[in-house]
Amino acid sequence: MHAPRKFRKAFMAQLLVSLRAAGQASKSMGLRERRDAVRLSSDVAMALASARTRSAPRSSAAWARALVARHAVERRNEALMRRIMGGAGYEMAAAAAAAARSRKEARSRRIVRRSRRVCSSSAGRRRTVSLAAAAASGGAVRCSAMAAARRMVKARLRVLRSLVPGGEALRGLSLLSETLDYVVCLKTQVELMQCLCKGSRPKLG
Amino acid sequence: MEGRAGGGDYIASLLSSAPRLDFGVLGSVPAMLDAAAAGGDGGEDCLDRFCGDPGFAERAARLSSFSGQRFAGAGAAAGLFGLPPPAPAASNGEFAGSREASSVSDPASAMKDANAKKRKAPAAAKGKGKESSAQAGDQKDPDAKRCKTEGAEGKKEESPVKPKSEQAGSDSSVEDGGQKPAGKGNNAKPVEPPKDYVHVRARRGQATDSHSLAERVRRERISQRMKVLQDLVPGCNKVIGKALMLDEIINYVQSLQRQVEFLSMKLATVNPLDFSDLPTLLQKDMFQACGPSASSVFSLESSSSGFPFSDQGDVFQSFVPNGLENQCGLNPLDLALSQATNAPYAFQDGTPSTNLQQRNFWEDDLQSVFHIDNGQSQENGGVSAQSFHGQLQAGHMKIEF
Repeated sequence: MHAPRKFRKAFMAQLLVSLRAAGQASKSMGLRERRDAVRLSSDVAMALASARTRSAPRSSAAWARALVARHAVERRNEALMRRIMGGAGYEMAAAAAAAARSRKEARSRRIVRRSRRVCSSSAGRRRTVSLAAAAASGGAVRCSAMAAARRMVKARLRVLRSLVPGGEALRGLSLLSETLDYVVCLKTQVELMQCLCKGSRPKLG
Repeated sequence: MEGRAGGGDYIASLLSSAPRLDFGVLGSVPAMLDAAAAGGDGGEDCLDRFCGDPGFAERAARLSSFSGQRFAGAGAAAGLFGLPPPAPAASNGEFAGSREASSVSDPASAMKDANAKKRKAPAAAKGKGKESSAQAGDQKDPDAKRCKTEGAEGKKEESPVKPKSEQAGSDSSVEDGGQKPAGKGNNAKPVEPPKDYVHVRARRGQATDSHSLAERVRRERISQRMKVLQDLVPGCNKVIGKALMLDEIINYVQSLQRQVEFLSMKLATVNPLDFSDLPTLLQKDMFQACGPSASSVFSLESSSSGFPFSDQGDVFQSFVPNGLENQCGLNPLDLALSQATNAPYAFQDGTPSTNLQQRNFWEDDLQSVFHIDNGQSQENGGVSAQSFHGQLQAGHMKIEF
């Protein structure tokens, strides 16, 4: 499944820009730093491309912002990010990073979730029982199975939240949407980078 | 019958929908309906034909919109961080040009916006989005599947009992994700009047209090997303069930992330970050568009590298953005070919006018990207421009071998 061409083109263009900026910045750094620079530039390129190709009201995906903020947190990336996104963009990224650090929403959610988990023994079972009854139209035998399935799903959702950048604050439907977006963009990123790799290999004959 | 009647309602809803919807889509809708009227199966085949291009759900539509929108570099970052992009009104005018893209995008973007607005009126937009996306033809398998299931369920209703016809004609919620048994008389009408809140009629044998209705709507939306994800992630088709699918998705995301890391490492080693990237872009987009022209554009590269760079500094500097834009494969290759013929002459003449002309060819965001970048590099005192020359030359040298 391919992302639409606009996105890929924008992404590739932005990738080149970022890589060029990275190349100018770091001519002498070691391998690890270069790899980090490459990763940073490609992530920023992805985020900017997705912002560019998105419709106005929903300006960009949450994962994009969180991704850029994640990179902006580290001090040594500052110069490179400034070059790629422009000073104003970097300021915004830094602001987003600061906001993310002190995000009350996620923290309070975590607290609520933890408390819910603690007293889930009685309340949760009741809740799942009622839901299961409503959904499966009766059959008390299924309740335990449903509860187990629900627990599995919840655990996996937790893992997914840790994977997707900015997913900490998301729930349910928005988490799935962000995952979808993120998966598509990741795929495009991988494809484009493979292209670059293939191209930069010296041609034989 | 039901399918066609539903189509009629759908047109009505389309006409009364938000003005964002491009009227170009209306042209395709009657054609689609005629095709659908030719026969239930025939309609599905048409849908298959239209939904030929694989992609993913509303994202693709959204991403394919705004073909002409231009953001400054800072503007893109602004767009990234929530500020409105500059001159959105101007961009709206460009929609009329790309009929298909906008017709696909707008209902789907309406779909997306509704989700962003706390699911205010999503079902209406989604229903429209599904149908119009199928008909606008730029669409993806999940939508195709949804349309197919809708068509199938519409056919099922052709032989229903009378009491169910009332349900079929009603403005019920979106078709279910297969979680409920089909025998329950659920209908597949995606049509909904464009109201502020979701009109959901209770299905037979289901609870009717508001909580469970809202819950059901929410669950259906979730299942919809899961279906899209299922099509996206390879290997998810065999798995049924939320937990297992989430497993697959998690594995896939992890593997993609690992791949990105590995590739970035590879790029860091192999590439001393020069501009041998250009031919790869040619390759990639060329093979997607049309194969045989690759050689001609390669000839552009080799020919331009033969020119003396030193004394044509200014021309080169203004040419290079165009060259890069060209080779980034944005443009149909006939344009690229025309530039391939023009470029050498532009070099010799050294006239900025031809460059301007070429620049006017590509009125899209890539241009702005490069302009912005040139602006930024000029801020740095033009040093980067010099190094850029050197890099480009090195890159061309590489290609010639």
